[in-house]
Amino acid sequence: MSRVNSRQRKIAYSIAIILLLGPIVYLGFPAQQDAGAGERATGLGKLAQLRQDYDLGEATLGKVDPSSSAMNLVLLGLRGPAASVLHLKAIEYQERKQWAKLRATVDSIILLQPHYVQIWKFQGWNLAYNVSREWDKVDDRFYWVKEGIKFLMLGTERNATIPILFHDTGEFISSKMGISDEKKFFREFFVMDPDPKFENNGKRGPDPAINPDGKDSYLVAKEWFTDANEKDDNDGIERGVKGKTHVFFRQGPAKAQMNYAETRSKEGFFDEHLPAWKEALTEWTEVYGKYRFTGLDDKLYQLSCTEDELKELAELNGITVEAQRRLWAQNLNMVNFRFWRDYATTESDTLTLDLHTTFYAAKQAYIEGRGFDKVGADGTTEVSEAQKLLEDAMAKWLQVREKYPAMFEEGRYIDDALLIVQYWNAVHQQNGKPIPDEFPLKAVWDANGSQHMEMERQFLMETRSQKFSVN
Amino acid sequence: MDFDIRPYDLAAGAQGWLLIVGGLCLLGIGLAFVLSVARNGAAGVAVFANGLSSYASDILSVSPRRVFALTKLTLLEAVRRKALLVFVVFSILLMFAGWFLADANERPELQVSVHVTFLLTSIAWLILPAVMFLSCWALPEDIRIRSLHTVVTKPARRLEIVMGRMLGMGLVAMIVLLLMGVIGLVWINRQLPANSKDQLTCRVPLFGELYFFDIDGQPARQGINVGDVWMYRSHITGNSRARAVWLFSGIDESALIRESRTDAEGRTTELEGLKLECRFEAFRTIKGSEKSIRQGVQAQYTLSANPREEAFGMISQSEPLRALADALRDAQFRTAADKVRELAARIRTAPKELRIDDYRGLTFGLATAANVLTNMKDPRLEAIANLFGDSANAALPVAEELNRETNGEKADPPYTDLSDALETLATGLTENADDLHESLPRLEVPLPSFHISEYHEGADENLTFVPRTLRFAADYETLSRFLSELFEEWNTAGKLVEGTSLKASLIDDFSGEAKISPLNAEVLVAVLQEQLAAGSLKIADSKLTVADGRRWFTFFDDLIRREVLVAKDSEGWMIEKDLINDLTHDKMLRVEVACLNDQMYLGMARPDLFVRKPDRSFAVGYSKALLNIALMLLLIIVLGVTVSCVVKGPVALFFTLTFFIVGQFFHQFMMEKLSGQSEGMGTLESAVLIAQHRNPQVGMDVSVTTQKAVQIADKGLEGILWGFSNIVPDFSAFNRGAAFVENGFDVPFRESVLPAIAIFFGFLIPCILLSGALLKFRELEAK
Repeated sequence: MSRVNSRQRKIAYSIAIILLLGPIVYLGFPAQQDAGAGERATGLGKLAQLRQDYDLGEATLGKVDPSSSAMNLVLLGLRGPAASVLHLKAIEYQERKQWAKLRATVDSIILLQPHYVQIWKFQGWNLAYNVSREWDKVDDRFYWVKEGIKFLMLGTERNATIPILFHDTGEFISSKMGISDEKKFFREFFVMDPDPKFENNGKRGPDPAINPDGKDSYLVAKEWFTDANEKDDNDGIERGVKGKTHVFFRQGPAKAQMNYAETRSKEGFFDEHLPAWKEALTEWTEVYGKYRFTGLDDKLYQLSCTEDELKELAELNGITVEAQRRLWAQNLNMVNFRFWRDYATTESDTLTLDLHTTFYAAKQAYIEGRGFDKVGADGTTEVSEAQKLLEDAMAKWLQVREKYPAMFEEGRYIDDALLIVQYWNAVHQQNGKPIPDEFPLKAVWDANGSQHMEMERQFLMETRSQKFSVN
Repeated sequence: MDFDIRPYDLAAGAQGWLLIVGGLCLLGIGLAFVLSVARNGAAGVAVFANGLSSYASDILSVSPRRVFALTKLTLLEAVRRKALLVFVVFSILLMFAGWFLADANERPELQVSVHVTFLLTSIAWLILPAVMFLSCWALPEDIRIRSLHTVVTKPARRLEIVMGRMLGMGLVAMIVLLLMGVIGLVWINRQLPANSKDQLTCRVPLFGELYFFDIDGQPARQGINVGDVWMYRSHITGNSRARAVWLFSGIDESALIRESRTDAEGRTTELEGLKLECRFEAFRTIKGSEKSIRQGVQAQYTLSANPREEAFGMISQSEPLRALADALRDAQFRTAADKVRELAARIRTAPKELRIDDYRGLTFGLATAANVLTNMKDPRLEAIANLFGDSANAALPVAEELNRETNGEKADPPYTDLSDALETLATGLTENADDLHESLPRLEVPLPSFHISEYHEGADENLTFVPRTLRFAADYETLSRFLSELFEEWNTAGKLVEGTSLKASLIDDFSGEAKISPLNAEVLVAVLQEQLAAGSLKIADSKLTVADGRRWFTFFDDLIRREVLVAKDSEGWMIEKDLINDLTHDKMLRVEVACLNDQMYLGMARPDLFVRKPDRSFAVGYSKALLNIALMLLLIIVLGVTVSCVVKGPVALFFTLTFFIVGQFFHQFMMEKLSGQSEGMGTLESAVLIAQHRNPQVGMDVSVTTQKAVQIADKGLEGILWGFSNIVPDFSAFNRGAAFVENGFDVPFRESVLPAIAIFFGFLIPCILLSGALLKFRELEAK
């Protein structure tokens, strides 16, 4: 029989509990929710700190969603089968055009598998590309493209350490807004959303969820690419990234800048042309070009390389300078580094800007009806403004070609030349004048006969729509 | 909605039920007799007879008082077993549902659908396990702990015990369902974002029947397939003769609604009319203009009363008869007569040039024409209707004989009789051409075109208000008819002539009373003056008449075709027609839908265009959906109690669960397999093909005998499947109510609630009888 009575036992147990609380709190204090995804939090218990140090905890991967945790708990280990069923259901709903249920099912899938990167990539792409295509009106298509982008953005919050999701977000914005069939509308909607709920004082504004500052789509994409590169630097994988070839992954910001510069000048906004292209050139050669990539056999290389840097890299890699040079050349060709460098250089020249502005003014003159010759009271004919500008553009084209002959062998500049001639021919036709046998760009025109039909199509598209810019 | 809704045929269902239940009863009784005799020998007959009569007496002497006493007992037991704990789970779900559901950025129609789906699914699936456990475990548990023994010693019949159990558990389930339903309704009204609340309504649709015209204007059952994986909708080609045609029945004054409309000048008036709502799908093969990219594909409705199409449309099914059908549809009856003579001559001289399908098409087309013309009950059409009927009767034996010939039998098709009948028909068409033209009017009222708003349920762009009084630009035929009716009426009333000349105020009378525009009224009077001067018209006995005795219709038709009556008004000849009196026939309204954009298509299924009656509140549709859920739960209880009368709890649960899963998820598949809609071979044959790595096109690599054996075995399995499909209830029928409400529709009684009621009572009665018998004749002490 114990001499310790019930009351004494209870006191002893209470003391023991209080004493044990100390080590329990020291060990088990949870992670702070407001410490931001992927950031180091303070004041944690020992176990939480260890989880953070070894990247084992949910909070270190990204924002924790309580509904996701609850769902996983409730399913009692059947998460895999449940996710599979949901995937099949999502396919069925998409086939049957049940968009509300598809959206809800996709949301449920990511609650179950928040850290499965492929889900985010696939469903984001599915919403932005496949589902948007099913809708007819362009406003509705834009809505679903946004849904895909927002879905991917949510993925970046939940998986803050995965660079490819950031990159894909930038890719979606860049491609969908800039290259898709509806690009003309999407670029406008990106800055001025058609949904009335984003109106401010009667003026249409952007959707703050994807474009809070009302910037151009390429600039927003560039921000995402830049974030992706930063995440790449911190993801613990040295000189590589999961999900894409590293050398293509890293060129996101520079390419976005180039796309921005090119598109804005095509749209007729020339004020930013030179600074935008200069920035693109710097990004391409100084930032992207100076990054050290790992090539075949784990040998380092750099795309923009001086002779000294080449020797330094050869020494680092333990190979000869010639071998280093071959490695360098291979990768230069793979990303077409020289072409883009030279393109940016050409576009950064005021001469090229002059060519573009002249041609743009010529197009405008033609479309606005200033392509008709004027007959004076004395019977003399004054050549139309459009024709003058077009002939000026031809001369400037030749000047730029003389300065940058390599760039003018194919591609955009040839297309521009052919289009100048197309407009010039149209001006002659509408004035009932025969087309002269000789003109400055005749050689270029004759040398590219296979493209005449395409240029005619382009000309008709531009002139029929009465617009060749978004704004 | 992604399913086509059809009204439930109660008579056919009841007939099928009687056959199956009757057959099963006889089978059961027969089996019992055989078992009784097998067990007891000759005495088994008496045992069987006593048992049967005892059970019959039990059935006839069921006491409601005892049943309700047992119901009360069951109710208390269910509460004691904490059946109401399901509320706790429901409350937790609703408290945290907000995490999973609402997003303020989402479009309103998406929000409502998701919330309603969540609510109805939660209610059904939360109560389901509770009732399944209760119903399957109650009786076996009572038998195990011997509490049932105290009940059976009382003067309570086994049948009453079973009924009491079912009723008691049913009451518990209904109380739980009702409470959850009310809580759910309050929750959804509070939970939905403000921008979605006006979407919480129940549209009341009146659906019609759908068929199509193809790109050549010929009738077709389906439109074209644009390559969509889901073949629910078929498409019509834009900027062509392709049409989708809906026939709505029950269109009378009661289908009309009153709505306030504001005109271009800002004046608001209340108009009576019909509201049409569409849910078409758009498909493009080209991007289209910027305008169409922003606004969407363009559609147009045409309200059409066209008895010629109804009568003669079916003749065009066969290619050699198309020219004849087109002539009849265009009211070119003399031309049609020539075509009929040509056909008669062809049948007489070279009958084999036409195929058996052409003769079948001819028979069907002529018979349809006869039926339609007869049903119009117009004395002027009686003779020609009979001629069509005679021709159909002459064509039928030809088709039948050709059919026999195809089957390898000797045949002698009576081509001469058919040819003679067609000659008589041709003569009749020529003689009655004018009567036919006059008594088979085609009236087409095109409504203003609109741009569809794809997948936006209930969007304003998809709603078209059709006022009762329609003002539109008449085509040639409609104008001729309008003027001829007007002149006949006014002539009789003496409103056209004053003395020996036209009435001086005729222009004002035309524009005032007849609602012809003043400019066109001037034109009309001027033309009348000209015709009088030319001698084409004359005034006699204070009446205006056509000098050569032609009818007014023919007179005006001729003037219009010769472009003598050209409208001065830029809008054309605008006339008014009444939606109910002029455009419906036997309360049937015909709406043709066209796609106006070139190289674009509109996709539609039957439920994609409907007459929208005044909406009902969300609570009405929601209650009906809950009623369907209630019936499903009651059916589970009935099945569970029935099975638990003979087996233990776990087995009963397993059995009921299997029934539920098969009925819920696989019943549709079973029916598709049995009706041949589903592709593929039989079970055994498929197994053999899989084992041999062959596909259905090449077939099994076995001998003919084995092939036959496999096919016979498959037939047997199909028979078992057929039996199973009749025994297992179609639980998916109970979900349709929820599907309607999720899509913003009211739950229609005949299409959704009635089949649910029929299925429930169809199983209730035999299950009660079966469970009573099982409990009565089992040994309670047996474990």
